[in-house]
Amino acid sequence: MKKSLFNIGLAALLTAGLLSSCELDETNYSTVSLDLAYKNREGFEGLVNACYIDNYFLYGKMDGIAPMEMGTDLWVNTGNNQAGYVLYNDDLNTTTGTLNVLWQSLYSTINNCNTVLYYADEVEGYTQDELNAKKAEAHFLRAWANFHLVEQFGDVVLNTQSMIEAGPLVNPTRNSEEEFYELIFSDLEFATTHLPINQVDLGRAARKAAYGLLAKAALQRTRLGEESVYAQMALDAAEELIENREAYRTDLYQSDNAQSGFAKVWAGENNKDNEEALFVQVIDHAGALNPEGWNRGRTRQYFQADTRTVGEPWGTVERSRIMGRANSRYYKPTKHLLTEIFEPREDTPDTRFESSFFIRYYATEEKVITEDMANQFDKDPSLIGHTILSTALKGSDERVKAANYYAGIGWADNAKYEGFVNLDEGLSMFTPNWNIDPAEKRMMPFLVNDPSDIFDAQGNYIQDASRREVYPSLSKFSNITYAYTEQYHMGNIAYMRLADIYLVAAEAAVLLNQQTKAADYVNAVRKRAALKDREDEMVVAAAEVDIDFILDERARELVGEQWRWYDLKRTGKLNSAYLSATNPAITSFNSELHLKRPIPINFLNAISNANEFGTNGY
Amino acid sequence: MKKLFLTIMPLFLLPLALMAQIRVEGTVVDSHDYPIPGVNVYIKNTTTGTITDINGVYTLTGVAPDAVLVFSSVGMKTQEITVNSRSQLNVIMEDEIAGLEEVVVIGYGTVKRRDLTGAVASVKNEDLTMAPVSNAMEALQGRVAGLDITRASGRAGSEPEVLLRGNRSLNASNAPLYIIDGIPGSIATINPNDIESIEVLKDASSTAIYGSAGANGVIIVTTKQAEKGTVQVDINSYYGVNGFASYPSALQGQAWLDYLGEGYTAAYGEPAANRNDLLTAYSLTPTQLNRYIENGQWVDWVDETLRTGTQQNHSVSIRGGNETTRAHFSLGYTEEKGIYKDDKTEIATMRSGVEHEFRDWLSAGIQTSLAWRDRNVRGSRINSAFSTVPLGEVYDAEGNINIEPIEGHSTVNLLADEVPGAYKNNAKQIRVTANPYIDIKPIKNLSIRSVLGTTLTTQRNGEYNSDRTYMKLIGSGGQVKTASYANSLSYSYTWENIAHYNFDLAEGHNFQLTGITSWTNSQNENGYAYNEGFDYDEFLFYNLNAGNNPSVGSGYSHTKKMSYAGRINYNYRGKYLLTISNRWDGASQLADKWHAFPAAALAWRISDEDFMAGTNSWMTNMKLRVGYGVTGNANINPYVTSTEVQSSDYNLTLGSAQSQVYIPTQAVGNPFVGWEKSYNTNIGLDLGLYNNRIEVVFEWYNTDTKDVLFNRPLPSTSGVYGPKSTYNMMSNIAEINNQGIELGINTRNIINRQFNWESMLTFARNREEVKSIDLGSNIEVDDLIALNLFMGHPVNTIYGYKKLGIWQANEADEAARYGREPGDVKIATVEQFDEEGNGDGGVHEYSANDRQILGSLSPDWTLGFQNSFYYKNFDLNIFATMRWGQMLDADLMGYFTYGRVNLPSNYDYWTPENPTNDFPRPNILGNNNDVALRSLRYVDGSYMKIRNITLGYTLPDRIGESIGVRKLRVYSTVNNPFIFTKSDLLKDIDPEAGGGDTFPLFKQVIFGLNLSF
Repeated sequence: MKKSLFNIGLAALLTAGLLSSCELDETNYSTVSLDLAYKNREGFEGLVNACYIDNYFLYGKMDGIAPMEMGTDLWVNTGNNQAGYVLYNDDLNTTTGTLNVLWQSLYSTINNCNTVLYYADEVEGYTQDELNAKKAEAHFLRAWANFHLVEQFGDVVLNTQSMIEAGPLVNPTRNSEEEFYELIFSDLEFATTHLPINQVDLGRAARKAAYGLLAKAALQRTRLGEESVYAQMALDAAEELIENREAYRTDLYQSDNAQSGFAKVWAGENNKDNEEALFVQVIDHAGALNPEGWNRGRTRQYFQADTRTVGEPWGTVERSRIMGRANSRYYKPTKHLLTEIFEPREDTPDTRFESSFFIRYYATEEKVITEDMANQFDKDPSLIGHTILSTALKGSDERVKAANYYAGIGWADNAKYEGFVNLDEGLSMFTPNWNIDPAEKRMMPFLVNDPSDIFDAQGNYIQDASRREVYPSLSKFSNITYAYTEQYHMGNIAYMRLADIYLVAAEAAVLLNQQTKAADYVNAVRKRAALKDREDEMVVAAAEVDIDFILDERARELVGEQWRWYDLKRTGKLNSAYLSATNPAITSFNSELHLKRPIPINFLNAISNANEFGTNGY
Repeated sequence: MKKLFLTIMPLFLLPLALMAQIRVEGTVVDSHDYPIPGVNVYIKNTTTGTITDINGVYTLTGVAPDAVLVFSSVGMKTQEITVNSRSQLNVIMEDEIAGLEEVVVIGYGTVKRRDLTGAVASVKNEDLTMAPVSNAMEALQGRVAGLDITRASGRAGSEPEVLLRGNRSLNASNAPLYIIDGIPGSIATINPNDIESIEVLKDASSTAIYGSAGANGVIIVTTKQAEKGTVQVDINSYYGVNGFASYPSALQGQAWLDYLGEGYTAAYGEPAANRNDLLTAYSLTPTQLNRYIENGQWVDWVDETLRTGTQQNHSVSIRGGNETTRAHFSLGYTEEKGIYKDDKTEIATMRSGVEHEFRDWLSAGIQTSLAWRDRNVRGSRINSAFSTVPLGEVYDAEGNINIEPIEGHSTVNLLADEVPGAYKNNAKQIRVTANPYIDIKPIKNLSIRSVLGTTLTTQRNGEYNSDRTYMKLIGSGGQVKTASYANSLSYSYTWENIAHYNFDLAEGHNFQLTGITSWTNSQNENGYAYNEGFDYDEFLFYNLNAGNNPSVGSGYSHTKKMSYAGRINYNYRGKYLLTISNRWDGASQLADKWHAFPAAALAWRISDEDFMAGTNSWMTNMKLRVGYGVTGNANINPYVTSTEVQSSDYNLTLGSAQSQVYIPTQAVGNPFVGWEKSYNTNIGLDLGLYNNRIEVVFEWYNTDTKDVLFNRPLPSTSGVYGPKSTYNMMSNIAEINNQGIELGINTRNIINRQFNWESMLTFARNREEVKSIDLGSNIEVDDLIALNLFMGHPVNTIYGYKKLGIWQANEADEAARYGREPGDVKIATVEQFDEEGNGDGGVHEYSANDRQILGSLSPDWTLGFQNSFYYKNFDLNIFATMRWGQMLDADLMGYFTYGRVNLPSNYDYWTPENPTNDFPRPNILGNNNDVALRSLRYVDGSYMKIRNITLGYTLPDRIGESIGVRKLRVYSTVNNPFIFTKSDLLKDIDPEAGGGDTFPLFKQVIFGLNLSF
């Protein structure tokens, strides 16, 4: 009754013309529907491209460097940052922020790849071959992400369905590591079949990437048993690539008498189109069309020695375009890396130490050695009053001066400007990995830290703050050609290199008792580490090549390239005996716990069965 | 009925009045028989009138023998007296008591206070302007029980946070609905002096007529309108000074060196051999710092940053009209200069309205407003003082800001953004409203109003960052000049039709019917342009094409809402009152778009019953109200019902050209998302005692909010939006209950001619509780930490580590069982059990498992207490507020980390000689991932505050009259003069701001003037 009364009243009002406007559907100009986007070529390829983005958050970034490179025989921490990954202390727990980024990056890639594969059935405008080539990218990247996921976190959730298709699952369950590898291998089988050999875009996965990953994943799978089956799979994949390297458009740089092949890998002029790179993070250095724009390439700064405080009286500067900025210093090399993995000798044929580390630091300001400095660093009194010359550019233009002040443009720019000085006269710090005779050291007019200055008898860094923070700094991810500011470096990053695959082949061959073959692959890598005329000094005999030797060789070749933790895990070296022998700072390694990372709390907080799922023991 | 008779009767008598006219005179006195000057006396329904002279005497000629004279004066009850051919009419005026006859604005109508059925609080202009504010809502703080108003930031132009009766919603807005003169609008751009009254509709029986968006309460703002037959000009002005911010400084001088030294001693077991070693241990270069230390060149960065701000507000309004046309016009200007340099907001407003009666049955009018806001914003850098070496030279010899205060050292001057040309962030906004309406009275007792409310808001945000801003100098961001220019344009209209029909069914049975239709259409467009690599600061953001790496963006959103509503008010002899309403709302944002929102309320004026006759001597009024209603909330972003595809926020190039990236939206579509509904019961009791000298309003309420909308993060293993953000799905996920009581007491403690003392007390207690959490697929959980939802606890629960104190020297052995040493933070642990069920008694290394529920950001209760004293022409007002039982998650308490270069000066840290329980022992090598450190942020935030003290003086009427002034008051107000906190950890911190570390609250002294003529 009441309602009808209302309706009469309402009807009267509605005749005022209101009826026409009561549709309540939404208009949204800033998005398009899933079907419109992904069933057509442009949108579908935009989705394939999305699968590449997450890798930009793991390479050149703390969030990937710490879990992939640290906690090994190569590095100790400076200060507390990421100490959990380095030392396996209680800093590494479910709430560690970088852990969540790692986890989410990997699951993000996996979901995007799943979405590509879901829409691949419906997208229009492709021939079957074209479509397979795009699908192959998704299969490859899904394998890539699952490989990292299973190695870092173990038996977690293996997801093969897109969120679009399956919706959110709030009570997920675990899958075995073997199941992970099954999917990785089937994805890579598709990728090695269908990925183009030559991609127009350098950053897009080509077939060489799929073979590279297949070799690495198969070798890694040996840790779960059926060693010979998977060693053979690894060797086959590696040899496919090595033997047909020209066809797959890759090769090792070879040495000449001026520069070793290894040095060429890291030379600025080879950065953007690197022959050895199998899969690469392309950085736009001109227009910053990168995830997070210019905020790229900070790897070098995490490994930097203290040029800001200790080096300052000697003329070094906190901000230098070639070295990066010394305000986020996290990692320094172990004594094991400096003196056992690399040969601690001045004139080794192996150029890899000097091509991988800064050991000479130059003054950007004229400095006079004072009595205090001489006393503190054990210098001969005759050096008091000695002037260390500035190597910084000297421009007359005011704007250049300002740029120099704020950007800290370093010695390498000198050639372009007036005021060039002999670099030796501007040397302010020197950090060789070989010990120098103390008498000789006293007479050197610059700060010298050799291993005897920075390590105690146990192989730990000494306490003296003025000494312990000056050490060789990783230089692989820095060259002046692509230095943008003292923070950002716009060089490409090779995720995977051919030299790595040579060493994978060698390791697989050792597991299959093919010593000679193993030595051949090892020597191929070793020889080009020397200048052409000293290659012969690098050759090792087949008998010397065993797993331990290859592991050291991998460190020499790949230090800093975010593979070391996997290498130790695969070869069973993630144990307290090996770690304490090579890296005495690690005192709390627990092999029950630390072979897998904690499950991030953000994920556990979002599911309904967190207790059942568990934290991986943390 | 008598009153109605009196109102109507003159209409019939009007023709008679023309026949004979007489002269009427008399004296107007107050209840103490003192003559009252300045009383308005006029013939009802005419513009003929006069005012009483200094002796209270008036004379009126040309009065019809049966005319009605109206006597009115501020603070007095208006009286209407029929002449009845008398030539002498002496009148005794009574003080106006917060009257039951007072008209209260409710949804789509007005009622007399005595006829209210719902929980409605009313605040009049006098209370709003007694102590000046820049945002009208600030003036309501503590004055309406159950309305919790806080100011979270001292940033210029920041708006207060308003919450009525607790949190009901999680993601949908908890902000109340503001109705400005009948149309939804924004209160931020209304000059408080333009406001006649603010009504707060608290219970669902009052708000359900607004359907959706009414769930969080409705605040109805009525602006000042012109009255017939008068012209009034009001001028209001104040000027104030802001300063004495509540903010701790950072350590300096010997205290700083002591702090560094303690960190060294704790780390290495012995003090540093000398100062050089000490500084080196903190990676500070002695050669750089020594000369400043030796010269005593300490810098108090907090003091250097904060300065005295100002606030001013000026407004002028003119109102007037004749029988058929009335108009008003006002101008206002507000300027606030914050306690930071370059933190400034200016608001200029204009309001106008005109109404014309064309025929008896037809009138039309328009209300318009225009607001201009110009705002300079800047970042806060003062919290960087806690990580900056407190040494150096802030200014160079020429008085310019020294970018590098410590020569050669990386410390960047915290004032770097203030260097001319370094930084500019300016927002300009124009908001225009124009609300034309037409009123039709086609037949007796029926009125129809059709109103179109249009709003147009356009805003421009320009930001320029030179390569020398603070953030860039410390290395965050490339050293390149960047600029952006963003525009937005919002346009919306609401078309409402409201019909009222009154009738009496039988003697004493009065009905009022209301029917409403409403259609709202809101659209927003925005554009964004950015470039970088400029050569000159001078371009600011006005020459974007001079850069070398441009990027652009644009966006659009659209929502629509359609509603129908009806209401019946029934009233039997003013004793029994019944309201029934229903509203049907449809919202475009939802999948399940339509919902009905019914409500009903009953009121019983017990004091009017015959059996209460015996109490009439002391009980003036007693009314019981019971109401029930349903309200809805759909205040969520559009486009959550289906997953769409967007271009990525991230650029990518896999080769040489840009690789376009198309990704699914972060909002995963939920095709079932529907209304959030609040089911509210309200029981209220109104009491008026001793001729209403004591008035008490008591409310009890219970609100169950079901299908609470929440944008919940989805588990990352199913898919994740990116490395740093999850996918979210807007879902109806939880049920939340709010239950509470509210008490409002107004008393006139002393009333006499010379001295009045009035008090107002408001008290509110709300219990908020999550009742269920449903993740969909029938998965219910007890708690979901990602959503910070815990069954049986409030929405803003703090879940974290519970600090017990600091491990003391004599507890070393016990501390070791937890992996801690004396000087470390001691927290409460949660017992852990192994697979066999054996507990560890809570003894273990601290971990995330030790988190527990610590409390809530919402207070247990709030209180407002105002005392007003009037002595002769002076008025004194003291207003206090209290919030009790709230926890803070305070940024300012969370600055303790190991090895940091400085600390807030109010941190009492542990040393072997100072066994405090406040903060742990500094230690260069301490473990900053010690979860126990996170417990330091949580602190009991209960406080009491003297919100303001105002002293005013009003010019005596007889003097004012002689100079043609109706009213002149000058006053001074002190805001925030005293703060008392329960926790002594909150020294130098104003808990009202929640312990935020960026823009502290401050004290304020204001001088002002109210002038009417």
